[in-house]
Amino acid sequence: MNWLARRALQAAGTALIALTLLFFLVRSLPGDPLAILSEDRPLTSEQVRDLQRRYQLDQPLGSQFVAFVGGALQGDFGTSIQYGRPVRQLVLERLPRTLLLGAAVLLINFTLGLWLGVQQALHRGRPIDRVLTTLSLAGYATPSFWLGLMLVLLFAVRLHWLPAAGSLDPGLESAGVASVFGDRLRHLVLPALTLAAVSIASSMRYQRAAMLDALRQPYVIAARARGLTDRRVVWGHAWRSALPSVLTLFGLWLPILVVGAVFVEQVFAWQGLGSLTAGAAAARDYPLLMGTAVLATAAVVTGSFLSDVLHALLDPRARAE
Amino acid sequence: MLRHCGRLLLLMTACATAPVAAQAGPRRLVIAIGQSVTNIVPTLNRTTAVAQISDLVFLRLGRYGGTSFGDHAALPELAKSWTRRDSLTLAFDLDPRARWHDGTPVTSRDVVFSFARARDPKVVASLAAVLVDVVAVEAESESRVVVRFARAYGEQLYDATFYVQILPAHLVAPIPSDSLVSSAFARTPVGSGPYRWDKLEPADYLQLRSVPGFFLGTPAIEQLVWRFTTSPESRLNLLLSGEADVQEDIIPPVTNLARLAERPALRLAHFPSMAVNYLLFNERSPGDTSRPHPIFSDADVRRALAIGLDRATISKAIFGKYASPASSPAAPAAWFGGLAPTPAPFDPKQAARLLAARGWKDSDGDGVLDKGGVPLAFSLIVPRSGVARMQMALIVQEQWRKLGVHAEVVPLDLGQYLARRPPGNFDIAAESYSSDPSPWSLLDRWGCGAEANYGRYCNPTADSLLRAAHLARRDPAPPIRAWLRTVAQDFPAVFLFSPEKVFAMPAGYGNVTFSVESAWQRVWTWTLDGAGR
Repeated sequence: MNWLARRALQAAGTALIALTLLFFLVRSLPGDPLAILSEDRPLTSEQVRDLQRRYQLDQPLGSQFVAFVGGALQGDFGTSIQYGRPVRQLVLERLPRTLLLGAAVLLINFTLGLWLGVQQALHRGRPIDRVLTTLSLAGYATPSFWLGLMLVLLFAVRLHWLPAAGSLDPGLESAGVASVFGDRLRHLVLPALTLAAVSIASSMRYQRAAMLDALRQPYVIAARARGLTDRRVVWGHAWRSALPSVLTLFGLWLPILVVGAVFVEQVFAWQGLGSLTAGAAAARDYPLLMGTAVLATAAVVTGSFLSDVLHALLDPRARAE
Repeated sequence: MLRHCGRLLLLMTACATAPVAAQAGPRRLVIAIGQSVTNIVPTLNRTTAVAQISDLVFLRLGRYGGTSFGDHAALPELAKSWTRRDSLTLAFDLDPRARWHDGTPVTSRDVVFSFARARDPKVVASLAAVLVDVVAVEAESESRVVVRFARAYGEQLYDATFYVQILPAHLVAPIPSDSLVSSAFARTPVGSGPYRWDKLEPADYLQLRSVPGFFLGTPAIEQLVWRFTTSPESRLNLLLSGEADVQEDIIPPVTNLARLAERPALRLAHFPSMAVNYLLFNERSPGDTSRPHPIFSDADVRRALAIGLDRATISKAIFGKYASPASSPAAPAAWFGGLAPTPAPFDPKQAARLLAARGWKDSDGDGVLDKGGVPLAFSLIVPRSGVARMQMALIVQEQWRKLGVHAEVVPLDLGQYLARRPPGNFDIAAESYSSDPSPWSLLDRWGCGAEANYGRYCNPTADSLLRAAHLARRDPAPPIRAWLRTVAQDFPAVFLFSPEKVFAMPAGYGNVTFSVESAWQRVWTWTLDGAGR
């Protein structure tokens, strides 16, 4: 319990340091957050004063930071300068799409990816191992936006099998739940496949290495000697002991759920948090940028924390360390 | 292994059995656009997309009539007619058939309320500023409104009709001004136009539905859907996959035209825009606007840099045939665009001679001209998000390099780019600006001391010409022509070209017209000649 509390405190401290740094780094970026409002017509000096007051930009940096921390603790990140709407509302609008895409990718990586990693380990050095290694590394080395565009060209533009962009079809507003669900799924296929294709290599490689190590352990050899079935030996003994290191990876991958993937979101017009953050950064929209930064920081810190906790639960030696 | 791959393929095929394109239903036009829209209430937000969509929901007293001068500057919309009482007063008679989408009649109270709101600088200061000559808007009866002006000038009708969309007073008046953005009205606005608010899926799409029995005629297209897609590639893919019917701003890149040519079912619609792309010279020293710019305060150098650019080649490389050369801030689509002088011809030899005459020579043989040990080198800032401007900047850089001029292209995030302009923290800015149809609005950008005059160009003679045009009550063309000529000769910028608006859309729609000032304003008059979902 002490270990858990200590680790939780460490996570909170890390988050606080990261957010403090982010706050001051964001404010040191060149550019004016109010400039985005003057693209076509300049703001009058009275408007500038009003806006500075509204967004507390007329306050010293220290006061702005205190106000930011105070608001953040209550879940209030202020109003987006660019959109003129509460940051929380904007984030909550985009979050479900990001979670859906991130969850789909994690699901693929940690089911198919792990299964393929096990198959590689079981067929080490054979053609299937070499083919999968080549394919996964090729995917890893492929730029996601390029792969996304190619998949769109093939499956959406040429074959008309799947949608080219967006997360839902505007024509289905009066359709039944099943149709809407199916529509969401169809829109999810290409972005999820693209992200999974460029990221599945790491879970496969981790799993392969961990399984190879586990398969060499004396208790696995003993299990085989006892006449257990291959399936029992592989999944009941070797895979279970290979799991902790892969679960660590799961914790580290968790942030993708929240942070999103900017390039893939752009290619597929998947309006998630990635594109929202990129837009906020380009427009120097401090409140929105900090709102998404808080979420990203929380995801990274929580992911890392969960990964440690899971590792410690599965391997008591980690707690002792 | 192969068995599992087979299952995956089967799953994908199963997914594909449901049609990707929209289901059969109401006659619908799906438009892919690059901006997202969160609300369309006038005075809350004025991005181009918002303005264009808003124009279909909230009408004005009259719509733009093709000129900003005289008493024919508008065509009837909410007002069925207007009469001039004297040089300072216009009376508008509302169309008795006009109704809000909740069934309430549109009355003079709505007009008075909307003008009061528009003229309040606390609501939108820039809107209040353009309405400065409107001194009173009064209801004479339920259906008659009288607008009084501070002085006699030619653009009174234009000012009374172009800038103010009428809001329903019975719904908006009870809402405090600063709460309107978060009000139920902003989420489900009620207007008086041919389309009413239907649905907004934040960040994905916005849907409007036609108003049956709209008092000016029932729209043939029942639903209008705007799909928000910031990436131009995604927009084109939506079009090519059949998920969208229309794409705005097909080019750049010009190669998109070849991709569209593969789809005979699609056709291009194009019309001139109010936009002009130009390279704005900063005539004051960056960082210290009290001093002249070391290079661009010299009009001959500005002229040399302008005629040293082959604008036709630049325009063709970016927009193909869909752009026209510009010599002034007036876009050819503006009613006064035809008054602009012919652009100065591309003449690199003359440009070199001009620079040499001003003392710029390559004394150290490094390929860059210099004077007194200072190279003819400067920065050219460009917003990274502007595809056309980024392309343009690179071509310009190369053409100037041949002249011995070194321009360093500096791509900036939009926020950073915009922030550099007001304090004059740049040498040259790659600008693109769409003006209002009134020449008077150009004073905002090119008048001495105007807030949006980022290059600090100042020619009092030019300003007085524009003022004379504004006050002209008969023919404003002579002073406008003289103003355009003066600006063209002063070279406050290299006016490059005016790109056209190019749309890809399915063949089969009839009566297709786009309005210069608001592209979709007339979509309700389109007919479906065998087209439509």
